[in-house]
Amino acid sequence: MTRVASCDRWREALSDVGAGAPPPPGFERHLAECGSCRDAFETERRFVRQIDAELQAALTVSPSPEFLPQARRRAEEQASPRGRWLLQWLVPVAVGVVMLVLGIQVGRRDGVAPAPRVAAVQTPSPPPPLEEPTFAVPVPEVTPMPRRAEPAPEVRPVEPEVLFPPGEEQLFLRFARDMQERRVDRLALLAAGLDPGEVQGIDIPVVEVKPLVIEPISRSEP
Amino acid sequence: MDTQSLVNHAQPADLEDEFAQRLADSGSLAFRVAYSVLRQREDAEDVAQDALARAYRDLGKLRDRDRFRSWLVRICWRLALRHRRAAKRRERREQAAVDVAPPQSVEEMAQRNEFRQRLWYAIDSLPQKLRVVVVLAAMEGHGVGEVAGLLDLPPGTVKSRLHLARRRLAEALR
Repeated sequence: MTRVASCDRWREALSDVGAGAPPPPGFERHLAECGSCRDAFETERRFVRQIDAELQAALTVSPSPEFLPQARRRAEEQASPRGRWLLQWLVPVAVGVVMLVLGIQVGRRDGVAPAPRVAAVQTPSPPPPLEEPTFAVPVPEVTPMPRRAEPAPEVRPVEPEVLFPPGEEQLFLRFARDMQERRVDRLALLAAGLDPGEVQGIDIPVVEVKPLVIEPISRSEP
Repeated sequence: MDTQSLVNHAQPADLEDEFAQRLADSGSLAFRVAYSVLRQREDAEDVAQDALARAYRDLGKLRDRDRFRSWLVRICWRLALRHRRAAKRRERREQAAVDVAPPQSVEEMAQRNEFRQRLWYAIDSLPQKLRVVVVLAAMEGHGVGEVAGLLDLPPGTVKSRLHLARRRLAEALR
């Protein structure tokens, strides 16, 4: 075996042993015989020592004089009863407040008063004029609203609703249809207290039907 | 009642006294461990103080008080790594925002002949289990046995990791 081949065999060991690994068998004998490997090993070892020395120098740092008093103060603050009180109570209280607010919000949303359910009909178009409408539309009796009910029907101000007494829906629709067709029904005239024989022509004024505004019932009321 | 039981049943006042002594013994070690990760004095002090405060808070839970230093080292190392990760994320965000040049490579740093800077770069490139060993071994004159005690590792494991870390550092710095 030539010397070069022999030195190649120890090349890995030079780095390992230089970095602090235990020398393999025969390593020291080879170093004693081979000057170039000995020099390479010394170079390796010096380099590793330089690294160690540099690292030790870099880590030989001391904290500032305020470090320990500050550390103690900080430790005491974190472990103080006030700190514990905050940790133990602040979080549950915060969670409770959040839950309360959420509960109120949900309760308000569920408690919206629905409009009274009454029979209603949409007026398809402005009715033709009628001479002195004599109909008094009675307001249906409003029963107390249940606390939890279906959502209130949407109020459309542009399409007003007309209320009429219970059981008279058909009659009312018939009257509305007659007004649309600009003809006079005998029964309607009689109901209005007019003599059908005397009527020559009817000037029907525009019946203004105001939209029904349903005011929510305050919860504070009994 | 044995000594350990007495320690475990220590009253708050005793804990305070014990902690004051621990603080004097191990405060600098905590700072150096943090500094080895962060290399910023102010950041290292902040993290070390945080670690000490946590150690004080949980001192009563530590069963074996002889392991205080290794416990503190682990707390401090972990907090420092977390702090550095957060700092790096912040740095990346800022770099992305201003679109600055990428950090210098090892070659560029070598050209500036700043050996220490290259050394820290090489240490940062080591796997964590090698890094902590080589850093602790370079600190406060710790031998293999002390590093093994701080890390709860067998001395043989520390020795092999230490030589592997040194070899990698040498290769990186050559």
